[in-house]
Amino acid sequence: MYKKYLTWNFHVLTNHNDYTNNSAFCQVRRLPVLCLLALLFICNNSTSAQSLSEKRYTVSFSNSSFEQAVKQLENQSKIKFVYNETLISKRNRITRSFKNQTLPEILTVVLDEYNVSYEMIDNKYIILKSLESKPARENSAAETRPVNQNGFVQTGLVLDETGQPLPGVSIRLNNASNIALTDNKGRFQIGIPRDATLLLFTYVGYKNTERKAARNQELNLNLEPDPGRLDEVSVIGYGTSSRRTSTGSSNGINAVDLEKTPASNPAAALQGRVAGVYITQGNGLPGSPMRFTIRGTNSLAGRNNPLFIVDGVPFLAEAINAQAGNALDAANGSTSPLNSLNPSDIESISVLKDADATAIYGSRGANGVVLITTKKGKAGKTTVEGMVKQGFSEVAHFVNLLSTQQYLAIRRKAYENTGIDPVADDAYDLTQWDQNAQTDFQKTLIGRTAKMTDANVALSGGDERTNFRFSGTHLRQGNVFTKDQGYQRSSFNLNVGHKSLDQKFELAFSAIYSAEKNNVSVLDQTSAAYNLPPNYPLYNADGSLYWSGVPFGVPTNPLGQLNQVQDNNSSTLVSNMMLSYNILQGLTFKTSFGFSRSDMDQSRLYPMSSMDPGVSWNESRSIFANNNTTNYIIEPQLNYTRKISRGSLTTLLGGTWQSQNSKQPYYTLASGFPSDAFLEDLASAENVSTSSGSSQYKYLSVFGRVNYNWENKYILNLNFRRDGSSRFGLDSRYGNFGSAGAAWAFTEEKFAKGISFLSFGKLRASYGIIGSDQIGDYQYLDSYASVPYNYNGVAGLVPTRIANESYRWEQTKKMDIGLDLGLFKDKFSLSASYYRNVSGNQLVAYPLSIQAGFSSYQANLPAKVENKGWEFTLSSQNVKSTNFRWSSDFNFSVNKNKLLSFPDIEKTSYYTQYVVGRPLSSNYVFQYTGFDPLTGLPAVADLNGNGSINYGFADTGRGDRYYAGGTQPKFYGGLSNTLSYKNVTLDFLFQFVKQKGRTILSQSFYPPGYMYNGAAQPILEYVNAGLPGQPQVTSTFDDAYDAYSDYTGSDALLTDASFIRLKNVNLAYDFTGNWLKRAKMRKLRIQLQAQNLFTITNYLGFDPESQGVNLPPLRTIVAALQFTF
Amino acid sequence: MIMNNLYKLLRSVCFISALFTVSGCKKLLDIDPPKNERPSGVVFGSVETAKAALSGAYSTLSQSQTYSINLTLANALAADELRALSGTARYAALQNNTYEPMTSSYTSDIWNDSYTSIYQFNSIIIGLSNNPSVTAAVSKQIVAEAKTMRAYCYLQLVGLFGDVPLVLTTNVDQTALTPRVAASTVYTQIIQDLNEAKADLGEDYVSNSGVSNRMQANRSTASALLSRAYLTIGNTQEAIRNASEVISNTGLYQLLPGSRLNDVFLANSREAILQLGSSLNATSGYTNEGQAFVSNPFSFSLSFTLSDGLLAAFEPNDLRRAAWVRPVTMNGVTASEPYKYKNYDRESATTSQRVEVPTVLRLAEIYLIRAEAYAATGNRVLALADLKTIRDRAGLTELSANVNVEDAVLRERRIELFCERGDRWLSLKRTGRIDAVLGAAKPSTWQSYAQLFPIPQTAIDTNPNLIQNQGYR
Repeated sequence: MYKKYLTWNFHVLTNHNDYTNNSAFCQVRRLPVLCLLALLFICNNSTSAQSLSEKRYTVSFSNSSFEQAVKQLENQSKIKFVYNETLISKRNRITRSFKNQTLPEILTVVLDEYNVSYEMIDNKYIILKSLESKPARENSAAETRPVNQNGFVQTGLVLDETGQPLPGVSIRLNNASNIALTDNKGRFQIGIPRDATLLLFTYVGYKNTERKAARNQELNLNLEPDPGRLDEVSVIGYGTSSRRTSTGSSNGINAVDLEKTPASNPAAALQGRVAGVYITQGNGLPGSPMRFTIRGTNSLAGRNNPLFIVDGVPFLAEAINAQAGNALDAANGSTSPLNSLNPSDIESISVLKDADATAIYGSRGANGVVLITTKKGKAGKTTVEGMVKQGFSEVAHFVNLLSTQQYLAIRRKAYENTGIDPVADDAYDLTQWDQNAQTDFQKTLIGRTAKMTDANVALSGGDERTNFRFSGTHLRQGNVFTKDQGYQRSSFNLNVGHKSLDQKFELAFSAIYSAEKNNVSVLDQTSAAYNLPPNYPLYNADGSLYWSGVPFGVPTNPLGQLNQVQDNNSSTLVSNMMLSYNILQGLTFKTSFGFSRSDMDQSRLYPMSSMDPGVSWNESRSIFANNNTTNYIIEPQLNYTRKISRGSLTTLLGGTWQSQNSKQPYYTLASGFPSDAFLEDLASAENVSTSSGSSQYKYLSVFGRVNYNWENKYILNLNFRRDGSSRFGLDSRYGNFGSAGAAWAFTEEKFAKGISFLSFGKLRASYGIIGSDQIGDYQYLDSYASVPYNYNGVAGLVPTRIANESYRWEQTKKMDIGLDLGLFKDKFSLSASYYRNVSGNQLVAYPLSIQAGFSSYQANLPAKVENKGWEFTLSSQNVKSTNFRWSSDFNFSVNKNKLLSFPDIEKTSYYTQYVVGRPLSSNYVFQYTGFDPLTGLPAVADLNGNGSINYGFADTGRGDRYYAGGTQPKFYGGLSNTLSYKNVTLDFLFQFVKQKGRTILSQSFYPPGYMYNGAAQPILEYVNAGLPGQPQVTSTFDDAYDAYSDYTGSDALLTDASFIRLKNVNLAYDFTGNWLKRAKMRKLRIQLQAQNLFTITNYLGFDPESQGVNLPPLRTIVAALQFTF
Repeated sequence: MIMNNLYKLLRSVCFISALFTVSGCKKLLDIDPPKNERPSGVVFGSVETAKAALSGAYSTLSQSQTYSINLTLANALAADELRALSGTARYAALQNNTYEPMTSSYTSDIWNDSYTSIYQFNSIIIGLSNNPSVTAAVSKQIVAEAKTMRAYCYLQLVGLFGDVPLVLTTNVDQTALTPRVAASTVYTQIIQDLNEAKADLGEDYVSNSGVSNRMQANRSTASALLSRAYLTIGNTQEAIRNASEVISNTGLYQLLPGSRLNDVFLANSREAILQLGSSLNATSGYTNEGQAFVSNPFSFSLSFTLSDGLLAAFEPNDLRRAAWVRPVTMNGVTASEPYKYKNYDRESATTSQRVEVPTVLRLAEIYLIRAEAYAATGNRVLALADLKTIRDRAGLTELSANVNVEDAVLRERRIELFCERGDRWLSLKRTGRIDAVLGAAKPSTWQSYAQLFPIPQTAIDTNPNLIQNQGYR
């Protein structure tokens, strides 16, 4: 049946650009069989934009065998040919020349010679099929050959459990690095190098599935949902893991969770979602700092920040302006560095908690590690994704304050009680201001609606070897103060990945650039809104601002304070390049180079218009500050993986060198300006004083990890790290840290196979020692610093500290035991952890008797702090049908903190701060005994019986304040639900915290009767208690004043500050239909999102989370439009 | 080509990483000191920076709460000079001599600020010993000044607290737990320091950029302090000798005439032996004393008044009463304010065009020291002669020859040096009259043990070797 001789007509192209007009055909000469080698002449006229079928080739075959011809074509076209060699006859040889012809043309001719047909797939593979219908059995010679010598293309279809196609499922091979993704219709093709290849299908939210590749056969499968997310990849230190194989404790959130919240700070999206991680927002001003407490407070010295790592680069935990020199803060404290990250660029945030997970970060991991990974491009179509959000924020809850009538009655009573003349006492509220005026200052000063706009767009795409993602965002967040203030962020994020042709070399680059502007006021207006007498006149009759002219005792006009100008401009660049090379099978060398830089430029102007002109010493002034921090990190790593027996061994050996430089080039105070117009012109200032500062931090370490996984059944994980830090003296710079973790997946055992409802079960435990070097730089340095003034004409230098060369790391020993369960085919999954961490060797300002020259120096204290607790995470897939799905996630954490031991505490100044056996942060209060019927004043008990009321602790016999519980939450957690019906998805997250607090009256420093307003309920209760003469009401410093301050320091003010908060709601609608396709849109979604929608609490005050009188976390409602092309 | 380069890159990365990990290279962890700090080696490596360290130590001393105001305030209240009119609760413990180790911040500050400054003077003395980087002459001068000022601080400590830890080094291992030593040992050290300093100090004041101030110790400062120290330990001969050295230096020191009593506390006053810069700002021209004592249009109420006993002690027509005491009335309250320093803020200093500087040592005291020493040796004539010098200036008549000289000297001191860094308080203790005088002045509250201030509780808490003064809990 073979055609021995081939004659073929082909186009003779006079002009290849004009080939469609060409109809001339030529006869091809038959060439003699001269050589076996094919002559190859490449003339590739194609441009890259042309598709393969249009590219033109010039090629000639000279007595070529089938293999030779295929190879030749492969080389030239760079297209992979796959075929089953057993099915193709090899006897024919071909001698032909082609000039400027397309591949289909050539193939048709050539393959006909071998009686083979072809199919081109996705411009990537050409699959060859024999046209001979001979049964495979006939070819016995071929059968005896190993059958896996040649590859083929596997095609197939992936569907979800409801039979809908699943796009974006990733398909990997067990014996090659090929990767493919399913397309929109769930179809895929992947080149298979040889038989017995396993394909691994992975998709977020679905179980990993393995299938054997099958020649000449469609591979169709349904992926099973994995509500327990057993095999979802989670990022851990220097690698990845999954719930199935991890030995440590880490939790996190991913892009899906981040999309559900309107928060501009990614940390806010973590609130309530992650067990063991307690995050509080300092206040409701844009850009406000977020405080992280991961598994309790470890350090007496108070710095308990986790280590933040963004794309492999350590990120600032404290504000940029707090790194060196003087910090110039705004009303929100300082802008949280995390705020510079755009949540929609983040792929995942992992929080590492126990020794097993954090030991790889050695000396910096004791307080936990937060790993933030940005989104990468994916192979497939080039995608444009975008989101526009528009919404508003407002104060969710105001406090009910005294009315003018109530307030003035108390004031009058006070003057009656004390006999002081209100006129002489400058009691303007009684003597000068309108007795009937009443302004709702909360509404006036913090009642505005803050607008918010957030827009981002990302372009991503790539193929199997190269991918990219580029995004840009702009956020504009207003403020609730009367003045136009706010926060703006613009940022760009670029991620590029590339692999070499042989898949051995890999490169990944990421860069985030973000510019922020924050001009939120210097002073939080909330305290004015709360404290101002209700008849305080903000304006004069002529509309100008009211000023009393009295320097003390009469409140200054808060609107004047708003005339102060605060301007913070900062920029952040975080970039990282990772190079990796696969040296041998299983051995990979990787290096990452990271660079980050943060800059902040600040100015604050105090114009005369912001101050009372009647006060003689008021003068205009300004402050300017500039800060920057640069960070370099190089991390070479060697990874080695191999099978040993039935287990796989993964080892990692790496090193880190990090160098951080912080500078404050200037911090300048200027005053004595000719007028407000000159406030930014230093040359016109009479007095200018400038200081500067800098600090450096370097870090060097070697680390390693050995992981051995015996059939996903027994897993052992060992970490070690040796660190050197410049924060320590020359002789004590290095420290060793390490951990051991083990896991036993008992459901892999035979006995468990019979338990039908148990689909997965794993016990894990870990123990390790991790360090903390969270102290200031240079504490070992014997040095002098300048004083800002001259003495006798010479600038002075003074010693900065008592240097200590010998202090060492603070150490935390962490123990963690966990159980991970999957029930009913992983419909329910449960994780429980118990931990006990003991931090010793506490690095503190060690108290010294002042005779040594300083009252403290940096040293290790033998005190031990214990944190222990439970964490539970429960996920459940409640309902799962074609149209309706409902899943829930629940997390719950309990932490108990205790000062375990503190030898000789009574000889340190900590004796007045801590009690052994109590939590570090505790409520010590007087015992309120009610109103004394004789004096008519509130009284507290003299617990130590010394005849007077003393401030010290009753526990230590030094005073009368007793321990009334810790201030940290007893327990906290979150419950989130996702419901979707057809195209509608509803997500909501409840956050709950059980804690004790102090009522808002504790925020009123002065007793009722002073010129301060406050919360009506507790004040009236206080005023109306006791004797009819109400002697507790006072306007001066007397017994009633003292009694009030004892009262506010007593247990009478302890209150339940627990709350349940609807933290997040997200209602989304996904458009479907043909019009989307016509518009080339892949996804169009509208969303309505809300944050802090409502709070259920007994706490009387602005907010139980922030407590106190400061702007509470705001209620935010936004509408969002999300689209993907 | 590309791959080749990558191989090279990878090879170098391998090499670098090997370098890190194998060598643990010290250099990779080396950091620069902060830009606003200089390692002590650098500070004592040049004349300029060594001078700056001395200047810084003077600054710290003059800026401290104690050496700018508390010494005067606490001692005047504890003795019988001053009475508080507002904020009385804050001053009650001092006025009633019921101060306690835990709560009295005024007495604690004296302890804390003194030792803070002593550390600085110690670090200068140690930093410059056997240090070839700074020329011998300059080094000698700086060390001598540091020793003088260290002695000045110890003189306050030992006078107010009795036995105190004698700290002469900066090594924390030696200093943190050192116990109190006998007052006599401290005096021995004070006198040794001052004598050594006197030998090395020049007669002229150190001037910088051509501006001459009396803001750094010179030889006469050492002599004056020596006369004070010797008088306290009863070495009258040495007290007289050192006082005479200062008094005879008429080129530098003269009492201002009675007509110029208002100028005694001005910068570069001819009467001043040591002025401690301004506590507020070198050029502000006003002092913490002025700010604390002088009522002004912005005061809510009057702060202090001189005690009735002190006011009664003034003889009629004493020029000092007119110049240094100001009668004021506010909201119906009358007071006699200390008015030695008159500027109460920057504006008042600018208006008055008079630059006032806290004066630590002045010639009048030296006359009175010598008078007291003469009287102690029985030399009535010379004692009265010195008293006459002081009284003449105050526009007062000569004392009769048969007057009790000791009493006369004490009374003259009380008037001349009232509210000047606790002179009255120390004089009552030195002369052993404190129980009699204060027992009479404050019959209900005075207790003898209160003549020594309590050691701050925080100091004892952190150094178990410290033993509290008797009488305190």
